[in-house]
Amino acid sequence: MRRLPAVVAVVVALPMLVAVLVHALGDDREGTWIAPERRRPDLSGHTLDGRPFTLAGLRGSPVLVTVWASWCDPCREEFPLLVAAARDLRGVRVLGVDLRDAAGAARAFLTETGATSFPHLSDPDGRLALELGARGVPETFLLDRDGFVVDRLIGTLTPGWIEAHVPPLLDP
Amino acid sequence: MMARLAALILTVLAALALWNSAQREPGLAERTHDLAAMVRCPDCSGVSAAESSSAMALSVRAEIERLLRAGVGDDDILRHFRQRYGDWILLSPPMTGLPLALWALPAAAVLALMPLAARRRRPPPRGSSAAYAPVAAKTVPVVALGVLAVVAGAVVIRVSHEPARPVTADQPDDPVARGRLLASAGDHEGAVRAYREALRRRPDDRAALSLLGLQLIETGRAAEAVSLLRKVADRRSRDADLLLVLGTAQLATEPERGRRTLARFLTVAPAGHPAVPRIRDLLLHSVPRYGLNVGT
Repeated sequence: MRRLPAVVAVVVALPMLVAVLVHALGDDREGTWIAPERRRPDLSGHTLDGRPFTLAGLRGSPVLVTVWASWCDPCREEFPLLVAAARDLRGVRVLGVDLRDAAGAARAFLTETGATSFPHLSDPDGRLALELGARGVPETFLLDRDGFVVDRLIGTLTPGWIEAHVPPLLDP
Repeated sequence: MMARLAALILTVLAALALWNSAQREPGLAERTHDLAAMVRCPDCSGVSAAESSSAMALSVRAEIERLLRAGVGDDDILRHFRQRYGDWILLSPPMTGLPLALWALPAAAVLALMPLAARRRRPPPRGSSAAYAPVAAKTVPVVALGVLAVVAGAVVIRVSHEPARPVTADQPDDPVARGRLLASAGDHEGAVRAYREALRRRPDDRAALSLLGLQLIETGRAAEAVSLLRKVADRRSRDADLLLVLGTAQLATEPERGRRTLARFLTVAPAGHPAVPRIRDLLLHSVPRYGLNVGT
C-alpha cells in the first residue's frame, strides 16, 4: 500500500507518454499507407481526345493506372516506363488519368513522351484521382482482372516495381 | 418609463437577431469549407484540404461541393472519403483500438484511485498530523513523472512536426512547381505569389523569373513584367526564355522594342525551341524590315 503513489504514477504517466508518442510519430509519414476497404474504383469520363471511356471496359485484364499531369516533372521521367509496359507486357492494359491540367499542355506532354498508345482520361476537377484514393502525382495503381485495386505506388514508377508487382497478375 | 420600454424593445430586438443568426443555414461555400477542414489534404503534410491550394486539396474541395450540390449529407461525404482513403483522410479519426486504450487508461487509473485517495484523506487523529508528511513526500514522484510525460510529449511533437506546408508531386515546398500548378488551375494571382516566393529564396532563379513575367502578362501587368525582366535580360542577352517573355511583354507596352527583343530571341533560341515558329511567323508578317533570316 505504501508503494501505491509510485504505482499510480507509472500507470498514469506511462500510457500518457506512449499516447503522446503514438500521436506524434504515427501521423502521416510518407509511405505509411493504410489500405482502405477493398474497392473497385469507378473511372469513367472522356479521354483527352474527347472519346467516352470507362474503366469497366477493361475488365478481364490487369490494369496499370497512372495519375499524372503535364506540370509534374517526375511524371515525365516515368512515362518511358509506362510506354514500354504498354508495349511489352502482354495482357496488361495501361490507363492514364490526367489531373487538373490544361488540355493543350497535356496533349503536348503526350506527344513529347510518346504516350499516345494508351488512353488517358481527362480529370479537370480531380474527381477521378479522388475516386482512386490518390495522394498526388505521380502515382500508380495496379488493378486486377476484376478491377479491384491490389497495389499502388506513391511517387515515381521504377522498373523494379513493375517487375515485382505486375507479372504475378498475368497468366502463367 | 419610456427608458424602460426602450430598453425592453432593444432587448427583444437583440434576442430576435441572435435567434435569427442561430437559425441561419450555412451556405454552400461555408459547408464546403467546414467539411474540407475535417479532411486531410492528400498531397500535403499535416494540413486540411481547406487550408491548402495543392492540386488534391482543390480536388477535395470541388468534390465536397459537388456532393453537397447533389444533396449528400455531411456524414455520407466523410464516409465517401474514408471508403477511398481509410481513416487516414480524417484529421481527427475515430478514436478506437490502441489510441483509445492509451488515452483511457490514465483516466481509468485516476478513477480507480479516487476511493483510495478519499480514504487516506480522512481527518487524522488529533496530534498526529506529522504522519501525513511522508504521504506528501510520496506525491513528488507522481508529479515529477506527470511533468516528465508532458514535457517529453511536447518535445517529441515539437521535434517531429515540422510546420505544415503544402507539397506538390515529389517537389515538396517547391514554389516554382506550386506556381505551375496554380497557373494550370487558372489561379494566376496564386501563381504570381508562388513565383515571387521562389525569387525571394533564389533571386537568380531564371525559370521563376520567366514564369513570373508570363503570369504578370497573363494578369494584365505587362509594364511590371518589362521592368522586372529588362535589366536581367540586358545582362543575359543570350537567355532565350527571358528574351521571349520580355519581348512579349514589350509588345503590349512598346511594340517596336518588343519586336526587336523578339528578333534577338530568334537569334539565340536553341534549335527546336517550341516558340520559334510562332515568333518567326509573327515577325515575318509584321516587320520584314528587320531582315530576319527566317528560312533557317
